[in-house]
Amino acid sequence: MQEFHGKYQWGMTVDVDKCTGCKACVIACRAENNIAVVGAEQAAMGRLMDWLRIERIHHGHFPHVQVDFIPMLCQQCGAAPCESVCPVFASVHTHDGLNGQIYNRCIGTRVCGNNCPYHVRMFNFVYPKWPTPMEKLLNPDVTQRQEGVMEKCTFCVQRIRRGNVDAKVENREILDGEVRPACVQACASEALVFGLLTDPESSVSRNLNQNKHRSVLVHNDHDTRPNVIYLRPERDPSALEPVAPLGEVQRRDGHAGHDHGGHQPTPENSPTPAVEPTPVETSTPAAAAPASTPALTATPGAQ
Amino acid sequence: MAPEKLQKLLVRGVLLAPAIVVLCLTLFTEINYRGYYSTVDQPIPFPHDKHVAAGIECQYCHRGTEEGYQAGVPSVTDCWQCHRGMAGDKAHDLAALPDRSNLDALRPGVKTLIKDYVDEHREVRWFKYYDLPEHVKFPHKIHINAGLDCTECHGDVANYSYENFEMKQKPTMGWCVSCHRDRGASQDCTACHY
Amino acid sequence: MKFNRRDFLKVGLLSASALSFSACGRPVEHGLVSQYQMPEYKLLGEPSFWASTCTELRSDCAVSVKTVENRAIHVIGIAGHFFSKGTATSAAVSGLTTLYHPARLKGASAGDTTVAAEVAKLASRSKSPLFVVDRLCGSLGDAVVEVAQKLGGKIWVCDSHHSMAERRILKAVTGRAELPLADLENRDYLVTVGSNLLQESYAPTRTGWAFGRFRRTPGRLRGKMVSFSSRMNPTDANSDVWEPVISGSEPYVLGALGKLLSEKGKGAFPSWAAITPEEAAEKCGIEEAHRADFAKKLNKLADRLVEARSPLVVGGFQGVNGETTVYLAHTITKMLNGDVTTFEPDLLIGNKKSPGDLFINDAEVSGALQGAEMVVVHNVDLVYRFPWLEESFKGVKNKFVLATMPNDTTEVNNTNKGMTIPLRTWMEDWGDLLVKSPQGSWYGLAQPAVKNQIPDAVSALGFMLELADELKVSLGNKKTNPREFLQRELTEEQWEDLLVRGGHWEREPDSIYGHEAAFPPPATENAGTAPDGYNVFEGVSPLEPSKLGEVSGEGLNFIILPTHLGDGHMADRPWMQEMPDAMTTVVWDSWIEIGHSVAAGLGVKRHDRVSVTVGDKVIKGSAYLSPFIHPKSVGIPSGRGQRLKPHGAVSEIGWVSEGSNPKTLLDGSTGGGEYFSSATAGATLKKEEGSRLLATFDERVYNLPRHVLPE
Repeated sequence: MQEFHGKYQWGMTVDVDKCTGCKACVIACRAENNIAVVGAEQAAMGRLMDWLRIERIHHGHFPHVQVDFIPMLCQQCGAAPCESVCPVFASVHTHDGLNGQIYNRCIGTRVCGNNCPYHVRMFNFVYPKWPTPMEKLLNPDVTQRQEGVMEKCTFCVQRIRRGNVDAKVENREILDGEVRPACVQACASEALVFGLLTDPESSVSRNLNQNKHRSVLVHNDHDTRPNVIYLRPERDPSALEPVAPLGEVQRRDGHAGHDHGGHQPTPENSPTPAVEPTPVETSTPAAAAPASTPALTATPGAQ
Repeated sequence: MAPEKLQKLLVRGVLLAPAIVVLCLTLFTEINYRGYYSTVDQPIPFPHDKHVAAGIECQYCHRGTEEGYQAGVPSVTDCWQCHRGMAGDKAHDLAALPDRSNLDALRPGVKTLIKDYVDEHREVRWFKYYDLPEHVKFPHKIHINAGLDCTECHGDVANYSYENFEMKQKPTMGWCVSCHRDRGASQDCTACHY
Repeated sequence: MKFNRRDFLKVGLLSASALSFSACGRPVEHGLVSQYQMPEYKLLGEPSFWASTCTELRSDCAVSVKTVENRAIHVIGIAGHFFSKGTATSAAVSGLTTLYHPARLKGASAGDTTVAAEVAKLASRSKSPLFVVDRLCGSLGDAVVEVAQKLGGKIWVCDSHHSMAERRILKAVTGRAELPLADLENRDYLVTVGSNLLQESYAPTRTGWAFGRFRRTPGRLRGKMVSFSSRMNPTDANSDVWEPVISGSEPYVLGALGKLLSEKGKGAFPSWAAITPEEAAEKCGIEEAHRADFAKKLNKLADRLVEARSPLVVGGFQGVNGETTVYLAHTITKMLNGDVTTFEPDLLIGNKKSPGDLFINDAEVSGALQGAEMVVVHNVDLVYRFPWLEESFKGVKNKFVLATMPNDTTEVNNTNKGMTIPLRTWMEDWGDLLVKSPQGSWYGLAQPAVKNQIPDAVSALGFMLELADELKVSLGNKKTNPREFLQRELTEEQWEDLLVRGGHWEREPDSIYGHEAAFPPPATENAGTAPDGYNVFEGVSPLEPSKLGEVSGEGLNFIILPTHLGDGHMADRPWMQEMPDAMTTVVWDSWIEIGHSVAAGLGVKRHDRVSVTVGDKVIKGSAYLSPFIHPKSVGIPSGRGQRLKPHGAVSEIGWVSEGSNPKTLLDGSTGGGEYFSSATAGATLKKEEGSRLLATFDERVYNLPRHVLPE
């Protein structure tokens, strides 16, 4: 069971089955968060600045190849390895469960980026350039970072804070769906769902509950307790076989034997991080009464 | 030049150089360490006390406070709505337009407003005292909603004449955080820094 | 002069006191200008959202441009819109970089009227003008059609989705010249053959949304997807089963499927296309040992299609035999469902009736260019997309190119006595379109979200209105101002609604079938011969399967790989260049994609220099070894490795200078149909000297110095 330390915990589910790899989310993130273009040379060195990237993981060899598109963004870990190593506390945990990055405090030691197992922290090796008149498309709600500062996905905290302010002024809670990060807003296939994990009625909690049997936490063997939950695609190579009746399919649970599609990433072909086929909940469906908070096992194999 | 003299000159030059550089920069450029703490000439010598005495509320001009993040300043159109009917020290009815021939009879501020801005269709480029750096995001809305009066942060604006002005409170982070702490507001870093 | 310690102290003290005095003045200037504009005032720092219509791709989704301080900073969809579904594609959002690109064409012309007058003067003297356009929506379409008619000219609509071809095909299959809507949300089984549906459909946002529902809707079975193609594109990557077939053999897959379905009682299938699964396995280049397997798979697939409640078979124009593929796919869907779901957009032809002989297709354009005295190119990079037309284009006496950014066409135009006119982007322009969908009809309106960034840039509609005015062509009531022109038929309330929503939907229009004459009548069913142009057995044939085992670089099929840069016109958007390609994760660079077996035979490793030769044309580049491509195909992506003219050098915000236009390897053949194919046979792959590192993220190696510059 994951404990939520505060009253609020923002989270996201990423449905890998629905993600088409169109990358509208990547560009939307860029536009919203003033992410600079690093140019050909820096990109070739591997210094892309994208806070959200689409990992292409492929399995198998020609002609039996399967590909998954996995959006990888900051997991806003509950036990973030980046927070404990920052010497100046530029990487902090917020009261609503986000991992905040305070740019003006950052002195650029890059230890946080080193510690992140998802490699979602991006460092400004060069001064971000916005050749005139491209500085016109900068979003004033987001701080412009300078050279030597670490940055990463913030779950569009500027939108969350606006939502907080509006809600406070109107003396209410933030409504479900009122605040959506740019990537969630841009996703056409509704693969990304965002909201409060602490609210059992929110769409993200409901989506998670409906898809418990295929939900996965990435790299949770490091016990980072991410708040981004991935939903496995259940790739079905038996698409050409006769289909089981509806009732049977619906009761499919997380037993390994039913994992037809399966991820068996071959090491040389799939770059890190690999999505581990760890079922999140291994109890039988009859016993899976949804608890008041979604159940996420912190370590694999936990019952 | 003799070697010792040269050496002396060099040493003294090196010691004095920073002072000279700073002097030149300060006198001949706009680089200055005091930033927004100093008083400065506004394009129009605008007196807050006179306008407050006329019964204008803060939010009549600074409209963004209730609805947005930045308070903003009024446009020249807003100023003109009232000043178009005024000539000299008397407030005539609004239909009357001041004769341009007696501009010199007006107060210097109003004269500048009409001559340089209204007639030129230009907006006034006000100097922003409470200019927070870019990495601080301050929403007025939530502070007004919390019941804070404008004077708590901006001082006794009702008595600020143009000449007699002093920024009572400088918006430093320490001051903001102590007020947050005292009143139980969010002390989360990402409340303001994102 | 003596300079002692006391003097030194005096000087020091003086400077210190001067310092303290100076500290009293000259602060840093922070200008604060009111953002209020009465009566509709804007607040500083608060965004305004302008409803508009995005014209980057085909579907003209209603979008909302988020502006702050009169600057456009984001593009989002409008919820409830039939196409955008509240989202916007990467193409829409990256349009911001075009809007504010430093290299935007600025133009030397003094304004639209001068240019239009020039054009009109020449137009009245020229015979047979040719209008080359990327789209003909709404009022703009009307204007172009009317002007072309008046001048006795021709129109070539060369959008990269082959919309004209698709219409003709659907007319042949269903009797209606409509564009198909992939209503995936209603389907439970999807088969794609050579199609990049999810990236290149008419409405990627709507198709994406529909795909999400197709896959996962609570209470319904997960939708199943099977794909056939010669190279796994991002759409194929989403399928449950991907079967590689040799390039050009896509129609054979459908031929066998159709025959099987016909035998299972799903109706008649054209006999000229019907083949057995075993024959199909052979023609599709399957290795001999696996042919029986393949035939079995086709049989199973046919069974599943029969069982499926609502199957959909989609074909694409990826290979040489694209038209045949699409024709057979629609035929099979009709056999299974009784109809092909379509909708009627008037995106191409304009709102009014127009004689069929106004429009020419790809097969006729070379001749038309050679015979034309005046060519008006509207937002099409003609020379890049169709390099074989460059010479004919150069030879035209009066050329007018309307473009936003410098490209190959503007370069050729400027050096060959043409006039290049800067064009506004959709965020700065007015426009409209009328669509009739299954849900009714809707009217889309584009309004400017920001003011014109380039003073000389002309409005597309404004330009045509001025031109029409000069030529005394009447378009509605004579209004040359685009906004007034668009407002002409609407009430005040309708206009308000459009401005707020970017469109008005749920409105029933009059019938807008007016362009039937543009398309040939439908072929009779069960014809022994294929309708014109749809004969699968002519044109380029796939490689003989007996040669499959060899690994030489001879006799390969060359295909153009689809990327998110589309047909290449988005190559000048730094955001798109910096976004890794979906299948290969390459950034800012072009590559030559080959299969592992061919590479092994030639001794080629990744990053090695190789060359692809077709006829007398050669392209060199770095090799990318991929498991996604059929071994007998070699692919080069579209849109990568372009030179931002006239700058030439690698620019951090522009294009990269290395790489070549893959279209130069094509020769303008149509693969037996009417439309330029994007593939060809007879390519030779050779290993060249040296290697140059490709910027890919496959190996995830960081901080190693790599060069993307040419040696």
